[in-house]
Amino acid sequence: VRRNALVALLAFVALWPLVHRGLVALYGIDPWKLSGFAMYSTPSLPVVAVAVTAGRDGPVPIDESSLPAWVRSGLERFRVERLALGTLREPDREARAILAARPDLSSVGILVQKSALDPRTAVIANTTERYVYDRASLD
Amino acid sequence: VSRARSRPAGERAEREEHRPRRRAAPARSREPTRPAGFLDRALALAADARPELAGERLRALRRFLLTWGAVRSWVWLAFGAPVDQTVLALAATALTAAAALAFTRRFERIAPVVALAALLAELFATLPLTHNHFFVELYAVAILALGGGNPDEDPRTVAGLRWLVALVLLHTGLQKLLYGHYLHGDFLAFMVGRGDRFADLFRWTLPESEVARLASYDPFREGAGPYRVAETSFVVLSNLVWIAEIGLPVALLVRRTRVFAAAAAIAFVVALQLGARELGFALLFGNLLLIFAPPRWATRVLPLSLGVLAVTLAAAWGLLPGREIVQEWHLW
Repeated sequence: VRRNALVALLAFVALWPLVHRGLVALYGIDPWKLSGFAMYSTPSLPVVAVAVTAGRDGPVPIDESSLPAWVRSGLERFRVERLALGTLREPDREARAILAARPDLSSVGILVQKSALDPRTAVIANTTERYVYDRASLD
Repeated sequence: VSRARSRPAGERAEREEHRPRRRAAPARSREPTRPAGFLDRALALAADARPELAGERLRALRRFLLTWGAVRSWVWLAFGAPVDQTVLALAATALTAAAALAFTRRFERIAPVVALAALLAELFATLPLTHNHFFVELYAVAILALGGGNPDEDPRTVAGLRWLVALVLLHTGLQKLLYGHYLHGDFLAFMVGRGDRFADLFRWTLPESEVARLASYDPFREGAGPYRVAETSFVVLSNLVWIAEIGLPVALLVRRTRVFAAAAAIAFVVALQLGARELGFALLFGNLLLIFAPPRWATRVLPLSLGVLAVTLAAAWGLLPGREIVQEWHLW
């Protein structure tokens, strides 16, 4: 049993970083985290996440200072977890919290921007994901 | 039997060690011997030429590793790491107890089991933000714990730890190759541009004008770059990093080149981590690499490593000056 457990652990250490590389490509998880041993392989740039509401000429950022402290700390936590888990971590909880704190809003959007160094061109490329939550559909 | 019971356990153990081994029962000797499979042969690749030294190797590593875990946890507490402080305090206490047990002959073999429980608690408290350094520590302690209380398992435990160290080193190189940022030096150029500590080791190969160009880019702006330089020496150094990280594990596993590779790998890791100012990791991985070296190396380095850990702990808690140095040089 001990021998099999040792072999299983070593097999995990041998194979997981390759799976991890696939998860980075598929879901944008952080190469520097989750035991992929890809630290110092590629820059780890912070995630920018902004809560917005629909305006006449497009999305308008919600002033975060107008939100209660627990909602703001939830957004901060989301930014950190999103960097680690990529698109596997969606901002559903944070959107519900914003709508609960701001009854005047009928919907809320969360824009998530991630930057990465393109290995072909060596320049920074940004990708933005948009999440839109309607109060009616959430209720 | 009653006399034997009345003797101290240490004496009994010593007598047991010198007692000649009984021959296997005839019924057992008729059982077919299972042929060594692929996995056994793979494990044997990392085996020692002198398996009788395995216990000595493991003792030094166990003492360092469990002390390292205890000190790291107390340093995390001192710096208010973003982890549930109750969980961290309990884990630090358990790891301290495990480290103390590792210094006793009687309980040293159960110490990693105690430490493993504490490390798993820390793992669940830190996920998904757990550092990769922590995973290395966790896997190494898990292998020590799997070795259990049977000294016959020691050679396999040494082989397992060697495979772990080789695999981690191999993957750090392989990942650098897979991400493709080292082939033209892009990653290091990016780090130079950001003024990152890791790039200090490579910056000297670039002219000031190139450093100024790289530093002028805003890394958060779309299209910033190119983070690419023409200096051949810089690109060669960049490629040498992943080549060393892939080549050294192979040399570590080959018995003939093992000792040379251990010395080279320790020098490489210490140099790289001095550049990155990740001295805590240099200490951890350097001591893990000693499992490939002659056992006296680890025995001689152990007091030095423990001294560094003691000073780090005292500085982190303000008992000695240098709290900022501990933080800046990531001495945990």
